[in-house]
Amino acid sequence: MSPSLIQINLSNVNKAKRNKRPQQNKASNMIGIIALIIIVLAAAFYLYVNLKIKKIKQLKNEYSLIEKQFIEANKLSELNDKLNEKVSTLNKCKSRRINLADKWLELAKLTPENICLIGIEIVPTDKQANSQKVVINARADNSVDESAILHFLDILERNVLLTNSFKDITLSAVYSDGDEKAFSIELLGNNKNKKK
Amino acid sequence: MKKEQIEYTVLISIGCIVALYVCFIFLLKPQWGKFKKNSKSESELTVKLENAQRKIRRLPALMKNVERLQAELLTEEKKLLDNEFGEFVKMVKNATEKSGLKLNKISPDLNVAIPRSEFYTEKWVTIESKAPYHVFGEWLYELEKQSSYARIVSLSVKSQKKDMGIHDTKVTIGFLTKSDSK
Repeated sequence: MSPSLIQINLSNVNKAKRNKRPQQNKASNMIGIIALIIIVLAAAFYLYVNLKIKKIKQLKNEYSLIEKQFIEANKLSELNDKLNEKVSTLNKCKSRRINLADKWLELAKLTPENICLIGIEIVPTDKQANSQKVVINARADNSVDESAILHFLDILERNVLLTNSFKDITLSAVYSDGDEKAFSIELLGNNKNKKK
Repeated sequence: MKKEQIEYTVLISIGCIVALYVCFIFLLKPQWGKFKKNSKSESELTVKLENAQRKIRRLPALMKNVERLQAELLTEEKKLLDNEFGEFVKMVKNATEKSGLKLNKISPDLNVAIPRSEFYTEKWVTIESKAPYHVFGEWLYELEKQSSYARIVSLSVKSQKKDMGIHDTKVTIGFLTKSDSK
């Protein structure tokens, strides 16, 4: 019986080869790992984009479900704007009105006996007559004291019907006309009414 | 052995490059295109959808408001005159009959058509008459009563000693009408 020989390679060359192998594989492993990471990232990106597209499709579906109602709402909104503009124009036109009739009759009641109205004018202050002023021309006997004219002005200024429509009531002129004193009173339109 | 390893590394590198290229061509490039195309549209769509949902939520209130405005306009527009001189004359004469005023002349100011908005235009008519103060006041009352869209644009009443209380009057009335095209 021949004794079995244990073959042990004690050569230093083999040992060095064994030690070098992992180092030599390192570079190729790194390339493989980097490539793998890139592929994983690309796959993640692919999934992300797909999810995004899915979400967009979902949004589009949701929008298409309510699109008819939205179009109807838009049309209604346009109609609402148009109607609002119409109503606001009508309100503006209403507010531009002096409503003279009641003031006309009131003025006759307010005029003292010693004063006589000789003319009333309504004059537009601009081309489109958006605002106007009223000029009242009157006369009084020379015997009448000027305080009577001021008293008449005071009566006009205290009258609610007039002050509601006219912001400014002023005595614009006093002059002698033969035996009589003539004077003019100006009533200017109310700004509040114009802004409405 | 060294040569073998270099070959092995080169082969793996080429394999990786090919894999990356294939991955780029068949996966990344089309996906990148889709991504670019859709990244904007998602935010746009979200805004569009939210806007639509908001408007739809307000729809019942809007409908109510439109109904209210339509009813208001129906009542108010009945008070407007048709854009015809005959209509103005009819209105003025109605007031005249009720007040007893004697008319001298009614003439339209043909040059005046003031657009008050896209929908309405104001037309002016000048009326001349002779009347006592109170009769004229009565006529004004009747005229203003007929429509809240008839307004006095200008007026002149002058009293003279010889006129025996019957004064010359000239008044321009503005009538609001619907614009022709609306």
